[in-house]
Amino acid sequence: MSETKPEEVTDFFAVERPEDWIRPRIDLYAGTVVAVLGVLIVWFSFDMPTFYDKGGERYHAPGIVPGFYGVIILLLGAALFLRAVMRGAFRPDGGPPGKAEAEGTSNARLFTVAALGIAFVVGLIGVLPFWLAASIFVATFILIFEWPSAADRRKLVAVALGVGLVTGVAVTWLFQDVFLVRLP
Amino acid sequence: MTGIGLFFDAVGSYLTPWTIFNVFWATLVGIVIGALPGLTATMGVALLTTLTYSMGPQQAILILICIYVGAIYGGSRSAILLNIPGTPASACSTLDGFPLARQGLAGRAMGISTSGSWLGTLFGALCVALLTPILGEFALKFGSYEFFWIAVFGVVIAGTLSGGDALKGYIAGFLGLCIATIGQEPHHAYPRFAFGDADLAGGIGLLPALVGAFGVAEVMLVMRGPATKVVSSKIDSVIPRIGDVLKHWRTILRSGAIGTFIGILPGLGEDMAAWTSYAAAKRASKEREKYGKGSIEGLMSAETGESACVPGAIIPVLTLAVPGSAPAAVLLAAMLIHGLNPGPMLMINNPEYVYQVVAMLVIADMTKLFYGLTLVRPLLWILLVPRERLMPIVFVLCCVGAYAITSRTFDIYVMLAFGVIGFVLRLLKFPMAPMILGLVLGDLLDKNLLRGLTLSSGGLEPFFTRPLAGTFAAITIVSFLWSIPFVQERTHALFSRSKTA
Repeated sequence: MSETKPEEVTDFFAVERPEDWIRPRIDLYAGTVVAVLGVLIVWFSFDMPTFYDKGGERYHAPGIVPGFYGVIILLLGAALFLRAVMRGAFRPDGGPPGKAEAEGTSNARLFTVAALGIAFVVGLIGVLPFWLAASIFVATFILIFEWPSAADRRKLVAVALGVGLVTGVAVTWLFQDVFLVRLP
Repeated sequence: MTGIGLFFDAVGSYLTPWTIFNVFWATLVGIVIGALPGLTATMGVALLTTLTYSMGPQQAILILICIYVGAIYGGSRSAILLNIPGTPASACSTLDGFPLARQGLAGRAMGISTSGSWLGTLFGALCVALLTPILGEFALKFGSYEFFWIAVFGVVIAGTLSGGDALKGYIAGFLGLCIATIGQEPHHAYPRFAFGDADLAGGIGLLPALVGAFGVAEVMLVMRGPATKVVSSKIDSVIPRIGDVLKHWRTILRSGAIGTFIGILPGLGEDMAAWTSYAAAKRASKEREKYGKGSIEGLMSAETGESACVPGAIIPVLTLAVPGSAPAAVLLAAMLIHGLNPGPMLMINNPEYVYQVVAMLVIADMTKLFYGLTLVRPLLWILLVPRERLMPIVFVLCCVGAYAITSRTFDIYVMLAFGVIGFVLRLLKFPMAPMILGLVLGDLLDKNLLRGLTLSSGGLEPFFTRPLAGTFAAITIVSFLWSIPFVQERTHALFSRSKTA
């Protein structure tokens, strides 16, 4: 989604440039999480039954393949950790900061979207008929995000309700009645 | 019957009012999905797989191919008018498309995009017709050892070349492979990583995971990011100029070949095809200084490359059941859902299907050309729809898409979880293509590794000593080593030293 600069073309095959890194401290945490995940995968794979006692083939044990992946994930996580250290993750500032985020990026908007999405999935779907649940979700979404900047709030409410209702009814009709798809 | 006969037979069978209606709406939906920043081709194909669930396999795959072809083309509209790629594949088109629009040549840029894209897909479709039978026959020689390496190669090459950080690409790929092991394994039906949960024992569905990783994650990214604005509303003629095509015929052929080749390689996809075609065109160009400032040749190369990649990505789907791109992965899943069995046996059991797919591609391409010449103003209006009104609708469609295949509420939770995982991984700059490829190839790798080990009584030699398996192993290992900066530097130093000597 970000704007692209001409010089990116020449470096497409090349190793990442320092300005394309994210802060090494963050990579350090990511590497640690990946390595721990690798250990857990290996652990759970070892814990799986082998079925040898029931005459199972030696190489059909359920844990072989995930165990193999777990070892590789552990090694790759360790490599990411080490690379982050080499790039300066333990420096007081956590290493070079990398590209700044685009102006206008908002975590508040992100958390609002997440909360609305979870409320829709957990609180509305399966509780209300799908068309109504979808209508309420879409209308609420529009109202919450457009309310602060709306010049005419009465019109906004009408638009939000209209878009919500049309979406709920149209999606239900199209999927359930025309294409015979089950809806939640 | 010859290939040409089978092709025309297939085209004839699609000339019914119902099919033509489906082709027109599906291509239009694809173009709109591609044009809207935040909606990707993968998401579009995944969501529409749900819609086509109750249809016959021919109609369903035709619709999905129309969506795929339309979406990859549609991305160029927002790339030219907004300087924001509608799909990741169109990122390269912003370089010259947007400068052309700023010079008041938005219509001409869209005309170049239309002609380049049309010729690219046509070139790729020709390659599907010519190469699929050959590759299909070749794939019949593959055994467990070769398929194991094909799967590993897919993950490694996607990790190496999917842009930026190869190490993170490998991690994403192996995480995808690991996620694919969740659920009952094939030999003892033991539920791996299920922890007593019946839903997890049923496994992670590919479609809910894809809808989450590409749909929900995209909703989160778009809503978190800054709003976009249309900057060019004056549009000159969009009719492609014959002169532009004739003058750049070499670029079109080169980009078509590169795009198709990149498409055939597992998991790389259209964005890579566009960048590679663009870089090759720039290298061969006599007017390099114009690149990035509104070069017609540059835009033509990017558009031709990305559109040629679409048929290219379908070639390994048909011959090996291995996807060449993320949307092709969904297409593969849709083919399996509809009971088509792509893979090496396709050319034996159902050879006419290859030519039916070629016919589908050509029909989608022609419809795309029609819309490219006529659908300019309405698309501009669609681009003006605020994200606050579009994204909740996308989210609703994601929920429907995740639920519809197996009617499990659990799949909606899977979609949400993959949405969060996809969002976090993208923030941390992990590429998504290897992860998706890992998810798709997990089953292939799992079965063939165990089968290979059983056949060799645990010996690893056949994985390296059989001629084909050994070749795939060597390519995979070299690809992996090449991605390590130290090895790259040493190799460069070695060659520059020998040149100096």
